[in-house]
Amino acid sequence: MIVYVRAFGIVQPVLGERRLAIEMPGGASIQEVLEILAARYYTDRKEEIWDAERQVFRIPVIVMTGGRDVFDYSGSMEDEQEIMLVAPMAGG
Amino acid sequence: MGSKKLKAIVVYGTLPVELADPQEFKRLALAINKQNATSPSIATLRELGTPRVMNNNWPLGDIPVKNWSVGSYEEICTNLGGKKMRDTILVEHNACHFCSIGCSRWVNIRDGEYQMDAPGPEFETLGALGSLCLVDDLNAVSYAAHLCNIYGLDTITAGTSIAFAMECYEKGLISEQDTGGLALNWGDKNLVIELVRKIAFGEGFGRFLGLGTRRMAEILENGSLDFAVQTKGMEYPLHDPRAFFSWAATYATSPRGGCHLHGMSSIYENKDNPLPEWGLTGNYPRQTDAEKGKIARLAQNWSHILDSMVVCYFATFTLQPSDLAALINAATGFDLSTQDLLDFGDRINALYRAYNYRCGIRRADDTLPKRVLTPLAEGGTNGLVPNLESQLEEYYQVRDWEPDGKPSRRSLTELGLDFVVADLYP
Repeated sequence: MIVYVRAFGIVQPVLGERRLAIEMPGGASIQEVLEILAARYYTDRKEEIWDAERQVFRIPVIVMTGGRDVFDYSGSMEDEQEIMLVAPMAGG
Repeated sequence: MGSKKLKAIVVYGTLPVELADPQEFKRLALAINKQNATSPSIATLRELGTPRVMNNNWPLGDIPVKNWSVGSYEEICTNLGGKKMRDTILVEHNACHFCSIGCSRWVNIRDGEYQMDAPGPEFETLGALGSLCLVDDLNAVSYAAHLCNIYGLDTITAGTSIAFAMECYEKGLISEQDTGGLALNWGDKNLVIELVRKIAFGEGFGRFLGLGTRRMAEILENGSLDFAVQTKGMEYPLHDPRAFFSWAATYATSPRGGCHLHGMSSIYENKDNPLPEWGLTGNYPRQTDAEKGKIARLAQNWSHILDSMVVCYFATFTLQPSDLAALINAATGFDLSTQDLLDFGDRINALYRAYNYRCGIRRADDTLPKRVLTPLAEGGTNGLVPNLESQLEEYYQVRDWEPDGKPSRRSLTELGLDFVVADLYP
């Protein structure tokens, strides 16, 4: 199946502004998608963003899908489902 | 100052400032500047300035639209965002003296009806004069902001007042008889510019707009106070309490009303271990109420310390209280701890509150307008709203305030404010 990823904030310079299309096995979880992202895409700034030992973000990132925050990353994704990775900002 | 036609007082000295430990102070200052220069959380601030928030926070529903009645959406936010500014009208970045962040931007619009060569608008300004009024033309909003700057108007209050008037016009509470023939239609960018001028010169309908949202609503009545987005008469910054719940307690209790500069609390939500030196060691999901009263208190205290030290809020993206304590100690020879800074913040806040209490501010004034406690069906806030009362319960508890909003005798005594005790508890 294909899942889509959009990134905002600190993660965006690494993943780029494009909507990434990632091929995953059917029924893959959000956590598995996050791990694939870390393995394939975070490249030279991986240490800043991803804790490889704990398999979690080092920085505050909100994972959203369908316009809602996701707290449990173990749920299965569906074909063509999109997740957004948003690192909140404030000020101005 | 206004009645004396005085816009500002500039003071400068000619003698050097003696530091207790100049070498240590320089070492700390350079380390902080280097940290800011290399931090990933600062990088996009340097590139896009605060308008980066437009590009970044819309999925979270943090950007209010149409006088806070519509959820954030991508098109208007990207049209007003930092990337659009960078790609179209930005000519250079500016920095405050010795700052390694350099978030300020200079813009130049060479052609068309909005020609300007001036500082570019910040995020809050883009929201107030832009998305709140349903205007998504970056050049027009930049020009309206430029007019506010040269006329000495607060862009948040100006934009929010215009958006409020647009909604009143839509609801029939204001007519063209009131406005001198102007139709206050959403999205009319030239109208926004014209109204900024009218506010500045107190001309016609501008005199009424210049009262701000609360006083306009008190005059217009008919439920308009429900959508006048202000607390204690101060219009809100462009961060939605429905997106980050801690803004509820922060706006409701801020000493001068709805204000993000007395506690930038949202940056401590959804962040694992955000301020460990002051006890924020957990994770605080943005749309939950637990601990948000506590976060509001700590964010306010942190702001009081930063204001007292004349330190930029953006430094808090990389600094902890111990960094500032070390700077103070190197400058003064004191031996302050992070706990001392927390106490200073409490003391400053207690003085603010005691003054407000003496002026008649009570718990009933620590509130939010109905508009921002009304769920939005779409736009990133998930249809959720904060529970203000539960946050205030927690906030009053951690501040040790009486039920009516007065700082307790005990808290004032513990903070060494005996002269305030004598005043509030005669």
